[in-house]
Amino acid sequence: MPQGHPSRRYVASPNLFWLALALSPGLLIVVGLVAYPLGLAVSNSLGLARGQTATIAHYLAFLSDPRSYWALLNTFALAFATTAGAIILSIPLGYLARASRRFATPVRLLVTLPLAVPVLIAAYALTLFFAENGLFNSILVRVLHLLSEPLTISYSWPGLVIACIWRFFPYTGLLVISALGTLDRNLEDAAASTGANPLQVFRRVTLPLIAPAALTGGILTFVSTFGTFSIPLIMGRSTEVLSVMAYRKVTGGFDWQSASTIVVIMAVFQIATLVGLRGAMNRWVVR
Amino acid sequence: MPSSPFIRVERLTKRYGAAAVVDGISFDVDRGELLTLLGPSGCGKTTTLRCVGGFIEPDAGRISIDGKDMTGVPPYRRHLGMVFQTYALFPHLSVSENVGFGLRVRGVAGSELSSRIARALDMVRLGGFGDRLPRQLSGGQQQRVALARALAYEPRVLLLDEPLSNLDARLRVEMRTEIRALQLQLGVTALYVTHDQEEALSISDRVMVVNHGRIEQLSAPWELYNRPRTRFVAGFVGTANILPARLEPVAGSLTLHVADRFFLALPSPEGLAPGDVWLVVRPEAIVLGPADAPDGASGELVAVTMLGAQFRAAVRFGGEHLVQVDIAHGGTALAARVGDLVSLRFDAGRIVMLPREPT
Amino acid sequence: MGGTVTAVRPMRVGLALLRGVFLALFAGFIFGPLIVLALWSVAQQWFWPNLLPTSFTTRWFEWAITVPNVLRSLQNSLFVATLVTIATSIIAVPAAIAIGRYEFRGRTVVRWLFSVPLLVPYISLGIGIASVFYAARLTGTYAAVVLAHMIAALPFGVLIVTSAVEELVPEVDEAALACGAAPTAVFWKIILPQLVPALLAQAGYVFMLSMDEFTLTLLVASPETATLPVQMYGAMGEGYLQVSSALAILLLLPSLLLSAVLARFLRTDLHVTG
Ligand SMILES: Nc1ncnc2c1ncn2[C@@H]1O[C@H](COP(=O)(O)OP(=O)(O)OP(=O)(O)O)[C@@H](O)[C@H]1O
Ligand SMILES: [Mg+2]
Repeated sequence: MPQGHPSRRYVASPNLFWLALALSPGLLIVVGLVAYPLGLAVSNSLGLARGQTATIAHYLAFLSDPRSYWALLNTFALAFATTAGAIILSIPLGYLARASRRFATPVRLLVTLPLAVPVLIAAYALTLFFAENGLFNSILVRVLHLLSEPLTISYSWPGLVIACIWRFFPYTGLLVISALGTLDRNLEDAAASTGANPLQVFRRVTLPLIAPAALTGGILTFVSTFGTFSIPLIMGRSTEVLSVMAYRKVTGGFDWQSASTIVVIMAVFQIATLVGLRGAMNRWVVR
Repeated sequence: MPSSPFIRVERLTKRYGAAAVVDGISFDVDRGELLTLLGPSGCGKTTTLRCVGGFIEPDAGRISIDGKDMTGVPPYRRHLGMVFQTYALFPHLSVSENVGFGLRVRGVAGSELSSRIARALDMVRLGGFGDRLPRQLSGGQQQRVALARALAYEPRVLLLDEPLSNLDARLRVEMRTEIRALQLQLGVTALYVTHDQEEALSISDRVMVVNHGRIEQLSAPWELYNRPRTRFVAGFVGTANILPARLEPVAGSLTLHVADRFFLALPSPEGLAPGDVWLVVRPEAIVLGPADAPDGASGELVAVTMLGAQFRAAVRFGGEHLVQVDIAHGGTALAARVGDLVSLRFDAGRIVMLPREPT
Repeated sequence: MGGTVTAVRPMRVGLALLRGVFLALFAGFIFGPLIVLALWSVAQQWFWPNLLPTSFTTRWFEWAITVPNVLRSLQNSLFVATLVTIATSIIAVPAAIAIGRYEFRGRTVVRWLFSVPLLVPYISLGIGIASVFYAARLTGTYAAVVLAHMIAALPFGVLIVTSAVEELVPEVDEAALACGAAPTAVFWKIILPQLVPALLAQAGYVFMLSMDEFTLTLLVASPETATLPVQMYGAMGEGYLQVSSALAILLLLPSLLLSAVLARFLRTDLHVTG
């Protein structure tokens, strides 16, 4: 969000007619093509589309099918694992970037790069890179002789997490790096001067100070992973997540009601997670 | 100076919520005069200036310029020049285009446009900078462009809102002299806002001190400094020692009893009545002497500070009062050490007495 | 004393080494997949256990741009992206100026409404409009593809321009008014010119987003209206490894280029939400 200009003043609105003219096409799209379809998805999922009475049959069907709650579990596990991985990867990168100016620019460029890569292409590139006979395994097995057998990463659960980290960690990374970079180092020095060892300084001073940035970025990574479709579509052969499941309901027989049920459940869970994390974060920051 | 009121402000009032930020202010500015609005932060200076500029609609009161009522006249029809604290240069236009903007919207074009731009730039000594963009200039240069832009179309009134407060101290002094010289040369009527009292004293024909949206005093700089009419003005303009005192009848005349410590004979006590007063005395109107001096009060020297042109001593007397006293270079009083007893002699001709509620 | 000094030295060296190794590993992680993709797009032969391809060819690119249905999807992509960019600009720019500049009742609500598409999972948007278009028999038309892309692009278009409008310094407008310019002149000569970089950034961002969009397009397009990413997905499914790599590179290069240009205009926080 834009940080407010100190003398920020909004001009009193000139004329309701112009204002309405400027805003209505955009609002029409948001309402007609976002709010209405979502509302329709809710009513579809309740079986209202064909003039019947409301039923939670589709939700019950969803919940009684082990495949779907495994997919739900997978989706959450993937989002949490990716977020955790993103935070864990971001912190050493932040230290590296602020250690010297020589590192700062390359780190920043490397972190930004995945954002410019379309998700579908990222998924494909990672599949190729981590394939059993791909470059990654070649280097481990043939060049470094660290392993005798190639690892199975592509199409596996860890591969899915790695691909999501590759594409979605920058949201966390950029914020954590900038938080660590702008952190007042005197605070850490002051803590160290009182006799705290580096680990204690990190846990007691640095971590709490960068936590808001890590959480904000983490939320973005979480949301992106939770709703991602392209990566599991290509990589998730063994692991089904909700987004792909909903897609398959449509392609495999135009079952809009089941698909709607799934995406409504996803939307509810995502918004609940967002609200919950926001609340947790506010409490943390206030404390 | 022809002395007809050019800007007339009558009972100007502006409220935000319940608070009157400008509270019934009335004043006149003469043609060609530079009047400064001086006051602490938040006292309503900017609000007053922006009302004159037409950017804020007052809640009550009337502003007229050159005899015409300005109520409901938008800023772009008031034919004013305005200089902002943040300069507010058009970032996408070159220096020349900035300066020529007001001319262009008035339909000036061709060779007249370029010659008038050149003249305005020469006026602020920026000839040759015309092709630059604002961000390629230093703060002082940007300030000059802002001034040239406001003057290029020869407005009848120049409004300046703390134009120098973003410059460093030395440049500030240099620029204020330049602004004053230009204003006099062009004969433009100017309303100048600042919270720097030294700046106000040095460039103004008259200064209006504002506090809490009301006028404390409106007078020429000399009078403002030497004849403050309120305790607020005495404390805000320059450095002043303000001591509680009492006028007491002694032998058919009046004597000033200062801080219950010593008596000060008044040269001309006519027209005064006995009672409580505030005694206002500037540091340069007190002489510091050795402890055994025949007259004056005695006190303890607490500190001596070097100010450049002179030293300033802080003397504690009467237990609670700290008095600032100037000491010239080479003065004998410099021999005194911190902790020594010294004497204070007040120049009775340069003191000011202000009414005080009895305690 | 001396002991401390000798103890510090190797630690410093060790730390520097650790940093270097970490940076190298990280660079490998980021670049590796992209390098493999680039190699595959020009590989004639690349079999295990060879580390690198044994022979190279540009055949796959020639293929990619001559095969009729690929060419058509490229045309589709450009056509759709152009329409989406124009339409989104026409809709987002006035809205952003209204939100960023004027005080009116419900400003916060309107602002929030425009970011709703970012709050729900992307696939939910997709299934939502896909079912609406299906019911309206719009599925497979260009209109469906363009509208779908506009939903995805609108929040960013509004966000980019709004934040530029909010960065405008109000005193600058007032200076123009004081100079004698009427409000309409202030808008055309002062406000709009200052927004040009943001408008270009907005257009570039939306164009790129439309070129790269896959999920919504897959749900609403037909083979005739499919864009390049959908075509690429098809090639991947059919196992044409080199051809899909070449297509991916064709799609990736302009994307990287445009990002590099946009990085100069867009503030980091926008980049992050993007
Ligand atoms: N638009 C506004 N809404 C509410 N209050 C305002 C507004 N503009 C100014 N004020 C308040 O009015 C008071 C006077 O403001 P003004 O800007 O005139 O002060 P000033 O004397 O110029 O101060 P400074 O020296 O800090 O510039 C301040 O307390 C300010 O907070
Ligand atoms: Mg002010």
